[in-house]
Amino acid sequence: MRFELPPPDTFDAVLEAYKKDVDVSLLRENLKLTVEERFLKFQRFMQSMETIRQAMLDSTSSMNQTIAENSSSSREMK
Amino acid sequence: MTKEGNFVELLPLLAAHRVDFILIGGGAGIAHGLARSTYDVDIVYSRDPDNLQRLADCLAPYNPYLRDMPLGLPFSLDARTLGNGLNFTLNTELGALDLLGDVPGGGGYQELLASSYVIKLFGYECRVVTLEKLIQLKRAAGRPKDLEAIAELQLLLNSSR
Repeated sequence: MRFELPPPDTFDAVLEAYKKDVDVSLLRENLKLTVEERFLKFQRFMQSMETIRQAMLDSTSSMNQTIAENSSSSREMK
Repeated sequence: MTKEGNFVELLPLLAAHRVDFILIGGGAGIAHGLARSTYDVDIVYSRDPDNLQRLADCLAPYNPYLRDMPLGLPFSLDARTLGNGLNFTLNTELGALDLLGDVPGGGGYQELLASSYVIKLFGYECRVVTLEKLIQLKRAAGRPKDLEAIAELQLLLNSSR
């Protein structure tokens, strides 16, 4: 989906508002690195996101299994 | 290794096969110091027939397939397909790769060449769009989701002056 952007002056005003919330310390840290190091840092970040995502999937699957088992045993008790 | 935003493998692969391309998008942002994530690799590629062949040859072993297309439909990313199309959003075994023949605000490879420079990356030379041009491209794309990125890029540009 694509939106029409407002005229440039409004656009710049919006950008100025966004700039106030930019964490400049993260940009400064990146600027200390070489370009290659920036890509490797990004790759590590993406890898850690993948690890978290996988852990969430595993825990959801394990939780569903526990719920299914509990539900099955409570039916048997009845 | 995660295959999202896989610059570490895709860029050296393209460079090793002497594909003429310019890195744009979030990847170019990372090269310039942007602190944001991205899930695909965006490149503007030369439409020269020899380059289309090199591009198709280097991607072939990694099963490139159109992201929006249902699995199982016949699709082959060869030089002819590349020549008949322009912009391709692909999934490959090395991650998502967007091949752009033309971009709003930047044109094609030849037009963008003057607004790019060569960087050494993992032992290879790759072209990256300049920070100024990257801001122009993101503005031209007109996507609200880019506003934060543009704000960061402008701060990076100010800090480099």
